[in-house]
Amino acid sequence: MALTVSQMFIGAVSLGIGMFRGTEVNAAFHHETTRSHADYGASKLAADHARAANVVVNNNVTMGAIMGPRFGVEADNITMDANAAIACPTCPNSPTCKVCLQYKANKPRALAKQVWVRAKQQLLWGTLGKLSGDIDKLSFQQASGLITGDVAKADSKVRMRFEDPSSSGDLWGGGNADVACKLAMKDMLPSPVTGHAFPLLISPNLLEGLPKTLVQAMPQMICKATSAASGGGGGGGGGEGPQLPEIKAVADQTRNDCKALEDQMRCAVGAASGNGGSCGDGAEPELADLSEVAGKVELPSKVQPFVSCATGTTSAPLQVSGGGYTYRGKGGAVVSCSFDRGKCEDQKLTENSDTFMREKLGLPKVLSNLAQSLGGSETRKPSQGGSNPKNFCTCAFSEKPVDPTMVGISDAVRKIASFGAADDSEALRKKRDYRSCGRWYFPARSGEFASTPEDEQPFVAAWKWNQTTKCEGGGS
Amino acid sequence: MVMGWFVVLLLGEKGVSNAADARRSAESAAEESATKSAANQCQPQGASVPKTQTSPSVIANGKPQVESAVALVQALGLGQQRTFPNYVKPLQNVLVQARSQADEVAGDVNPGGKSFEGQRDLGCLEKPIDAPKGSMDEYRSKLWEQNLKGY
Repeated sequence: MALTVSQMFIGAVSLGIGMFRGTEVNAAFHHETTRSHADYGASKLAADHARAANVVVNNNVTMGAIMGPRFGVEADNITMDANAAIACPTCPNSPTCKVCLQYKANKPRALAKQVWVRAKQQLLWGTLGKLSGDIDKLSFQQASGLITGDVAKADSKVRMRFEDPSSSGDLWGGGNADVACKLAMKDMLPSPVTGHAFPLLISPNLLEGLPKTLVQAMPQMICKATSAASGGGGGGGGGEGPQLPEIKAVADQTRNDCKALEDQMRCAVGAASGNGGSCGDGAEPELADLSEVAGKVELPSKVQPFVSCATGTTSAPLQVSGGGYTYRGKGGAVVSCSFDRGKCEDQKLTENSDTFMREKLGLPKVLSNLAQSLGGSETRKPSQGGSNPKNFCTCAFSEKPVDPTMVGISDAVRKIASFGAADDSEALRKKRDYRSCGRWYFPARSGEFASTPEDEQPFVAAWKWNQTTKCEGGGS
Repeated sequence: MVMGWFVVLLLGEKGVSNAADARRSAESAAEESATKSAANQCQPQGASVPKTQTSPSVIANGKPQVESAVALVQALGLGQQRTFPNYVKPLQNVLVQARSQADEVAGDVNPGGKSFEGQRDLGCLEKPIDAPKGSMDEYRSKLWEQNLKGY
């Protein structure tokens, strides 16, 4: 009898141990396979986002690729118009008149190319720029559908969910049209596109070198709004940009502008010295001595940038050109202030050339809404910037309840082993959500792409991805 | 008699253990093969887990939804450029099925001959197809030759 009882007891214990062991093994594999579905989800989502990043790059590159030829065609057209502005007034007797005749014969061909390239550039920028803004949402929708379907085929009891940044905002923002334009310009300069119309359509080019100068200036001229925004709002221009002193209207305007400013200075000096009547037109530049006058010269703000003052000493006497005024500074040294005509003409020539090209030669006006002027959208870069933005990270979660038979066996064995004292297993009933994440980034830290400057990374198709356990600042 | 129960207990344990080992081998082999294949740009790679067979298969799993871009870009005569495949190349997964058989154990609870299976699916890494300075010149030169050169 005792033997039978002990046999039964040992039998029950061995059976219980075997079953309990079985439930543990089953639970371990259950957790592992369920987690593997999250891994699959995260890897596919991240891979698809990385491809989307490289599609954005392709879009940016294509947008930049058409902007270069636009620069070239615009520059050629402007140069042709400027040639005509010089040559046509000399007709019919001057030998230069042939340039005018060539212009009249060939301008329609150049104009047709200009119309075509402007239209295509705007169409490309509008369509591809918008696609770049939508591509992450599209790829997430597609990938999440495929993942859910694939996992359901493997195990219909697994439930998948996703936390993807494309659902909460734009991952790729605008604001780098100036970089696209700069890259397009750099690509264009050494190419045969620059100055292609000469001598093909007009020979000789009366403004040799102007097409190249214009192409160099195009990023500022056409993409100006963004450049100004990134550079702190401009501040009066000056210096940068092509100059057209050969065009009579531009040269006359420049001379008149500077003379008017110089006259304003003369009037201000006259007012300060109590001699307001000597500031009229045609007066020769003169140097007024204001040492005895208590009043201070109040120069108009437009004149101030062109007035330079210097202190003269016996060893270095003052060299003054143009009109102005002198006074005795601290210690009795003579200070002389004069109007810098050279500086004025340099700056005004640039400004007037720009105005002439925009108003007379058809260069597009600078608009406050750059994206609108370029076709409705812009080239894109990560909205958070950098090569590894925090929001370029996505997570997949998988969840599946443990098989109820296993839970029942585990509960029964626990109860028997504890003589009825143990509660039901919470561990096996607990809802487990397995998370796996993937991030995509530009490989800027090492390897062959480490030399790519940060602002050019959105133009290089090398974006890749890797898996990670969580996204920085997100996921639970 | 008591010893008999212990023998049964031990053989049962051994059976469960062999079955768990076989399953573990299948899972490990599937995991290893999938990770290696995905990291090797979807070139199928085996696993170094003994007594297992892995069969990695590469699956095309979706394409970028960029039909409008492809039509527009191709209309300009573009399409042979180095990075153009980013628009059209199918996205790829590797799906690995691994199998392993448990060793024989004497007695009734014998998992020997029984096949255990592990399965893993992962998205693949892609080889970069660009150069460090980008490919704008390739697109620009073709676009120019095709549409604008010669006025």
